[in-house]
Amino acid sequence: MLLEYAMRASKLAIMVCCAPEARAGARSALEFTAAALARGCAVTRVFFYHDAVATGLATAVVPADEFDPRERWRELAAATGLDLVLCVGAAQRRGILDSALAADAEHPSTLAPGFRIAGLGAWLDAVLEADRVIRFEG
Amino acid sequence: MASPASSTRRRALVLMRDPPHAGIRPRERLDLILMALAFELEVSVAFVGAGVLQLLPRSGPGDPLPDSGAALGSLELYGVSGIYADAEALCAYGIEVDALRVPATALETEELAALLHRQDLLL
Repeated sequence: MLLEYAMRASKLAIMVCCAPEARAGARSALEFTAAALARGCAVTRVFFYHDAVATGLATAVVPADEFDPRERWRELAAATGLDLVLCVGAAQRRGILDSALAADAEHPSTLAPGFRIAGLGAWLDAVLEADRVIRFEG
Repeated sequence: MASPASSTRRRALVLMRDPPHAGIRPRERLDLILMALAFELEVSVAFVGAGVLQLLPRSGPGDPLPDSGAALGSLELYGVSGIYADAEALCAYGIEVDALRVPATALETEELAALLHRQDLLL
């Protein structure tokens, strides 16, 4: 139903707010995005905010028999060129650092491949370019 | 105050639905409001459900995060065009509008629905 609603737009901006371990929400966000892309919808950006930034934490270890949102998003981005962005403020608070932030903090980088870190402005840019905004609260 | 230029600005509503003890989340929503203002959107803020509790003065110790009340109180100063509170939630929590630390307009459910429909963007 959400997909039918969203498909009336041609460009979507997608915000994910639910933590990766919130399985149902994290899975819905990923599967929705994959389905929208498969149907020819453009996705201007997927922006991870609040606890969802932990999706891009490289050092999280997910048991082999569990749904792994980080890996699934990375595969989807590799296949489609999807732009996966973690909010910088939310990421820093939760210890997710790209190489530049890591150098400033004198820590190793903890950002998973396939993701990048940017400010909320990147989200507003994506919103203004899109016809519709879809948010997964989880 | 609506200027001729402001009538063409896109209208965005930020929904605040988290209680004040929901960790960093209310503060991160506040960041979103400020960024939307920086993008020159016409921004309104609606406190709904447990989010109305953010409008109460902070009571008691326990929350290690800095109080975002000062920033909430300055929303109008920052250029937010409307601050609204969910009347049904205020009633459910037994909160009088006079007790709020931010001057918010209480809206009944149908009025909130109309507010949502007037927006170009829900953030």
